[in-house]
Amino acid sequence: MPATARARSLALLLGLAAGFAGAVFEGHRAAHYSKPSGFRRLHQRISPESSFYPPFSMLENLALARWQPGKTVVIIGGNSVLEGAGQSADHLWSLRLQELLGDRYVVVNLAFSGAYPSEGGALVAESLLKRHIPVLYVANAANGPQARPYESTYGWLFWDARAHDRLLFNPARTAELDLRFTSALPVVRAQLRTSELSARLNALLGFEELWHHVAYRHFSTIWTFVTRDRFWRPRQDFPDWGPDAPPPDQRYRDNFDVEMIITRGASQTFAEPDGQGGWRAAAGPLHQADIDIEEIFPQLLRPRMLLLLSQSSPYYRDRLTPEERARDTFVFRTYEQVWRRHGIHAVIAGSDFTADDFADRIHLAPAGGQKLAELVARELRQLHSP
Amino acid sequence: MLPDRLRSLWPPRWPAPVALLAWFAWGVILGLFLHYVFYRVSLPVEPFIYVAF
Repeated sequence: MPATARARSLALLLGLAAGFAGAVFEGHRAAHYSKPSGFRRLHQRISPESSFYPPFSMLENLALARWQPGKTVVIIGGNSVLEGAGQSADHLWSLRLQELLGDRYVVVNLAFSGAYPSEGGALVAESLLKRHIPVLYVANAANGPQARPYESTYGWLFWDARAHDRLLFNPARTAELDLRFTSALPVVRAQLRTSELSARLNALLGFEELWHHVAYRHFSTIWTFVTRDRFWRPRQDFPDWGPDAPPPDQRYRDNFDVEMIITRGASQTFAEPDGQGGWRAAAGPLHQADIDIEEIFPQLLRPRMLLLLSQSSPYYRDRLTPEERARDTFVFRTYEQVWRRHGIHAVIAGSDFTADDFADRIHLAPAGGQKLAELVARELRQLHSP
Repeated sequence: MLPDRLRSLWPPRWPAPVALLAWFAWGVILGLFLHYVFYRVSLPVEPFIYVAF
């Protein structure tokens, strides 16, 4: 006897519920184990540059999988300079840092191209501290005001971590968010609400965790330009193709004028003549930077942070006028002190590097990466000894 | 004819337990797909049309 229409519908609905519930269950399980294998950095094919948005849990699992009691986790955040653009996977500065620090430290490079020091790695460091795991956080920043972790491309990591209750208590951050939820422009409020709702829904249903795990391990369903040849292949099959910097005589060939404008811009808006032949900090950006740092970084994280102020290559800095060079030095020193005032250990990175240490204006070649690793290892040992 | 042969493969023509199992399996597939759609539409920059994948 054939099944009645009602029985068939019921079977379909039961199946739908079972399939969905099974996926939710697997998503929550994936949040505990899913992570890239043989991980060195978030290269182009496992990052938003190829529409791969690793969930917060995937980043945290990278640190948790390597940590053992008695070890200190060193989380690297910040932008492409610390991600290691200009160095191939085998010549990565963070590998050298791991060698220099030894096996009592575990170095995990979670820097993203174009990220701010408040994003990705900073949030993972917060979560590890919340788990009472000893952690040090290294990031780089530009001079001036700082962006909040929900203000850029990598904002989903903040909402994801927040929805999973992985962030430290930070009343200043909560107050600022509350203010934005109530007083920001309608379009901004709508954007914030959408991001928050999406993250809350994911915390409940685990769809990001499950399908990013599937995309990494089994098959990808997303066509992107950088994976266009075989976009369906799991992302684990795409190696880190980031190249080493070209030979020194082939560097600094493009966009000279633009790079000079950017080099000047590192200090141009942050200082003004003091009328006595010297420089004083521009009050507006300085005040905003104070507000931003105080609000963004929780008190518990600050003594465990090393903040690098990344200098441009001397190829460009040496071409500044004497006044511009004096302003550049003044601004970097001023902002070094600004970070320190908030209890964050800041140092200027790259001011004693040569042009050959850089791959371009700001990224480091393998030789520069070695020097950076030595600088960071030295500063981290001063900051903390296990 | 081909349509008749196809119709003979359609779940309602099967015995009740087999048909219900087939409908249940289709439900499971749809449930998984629905979960996948949540992931797909939550990606920040991709246009909705790629849900087709």
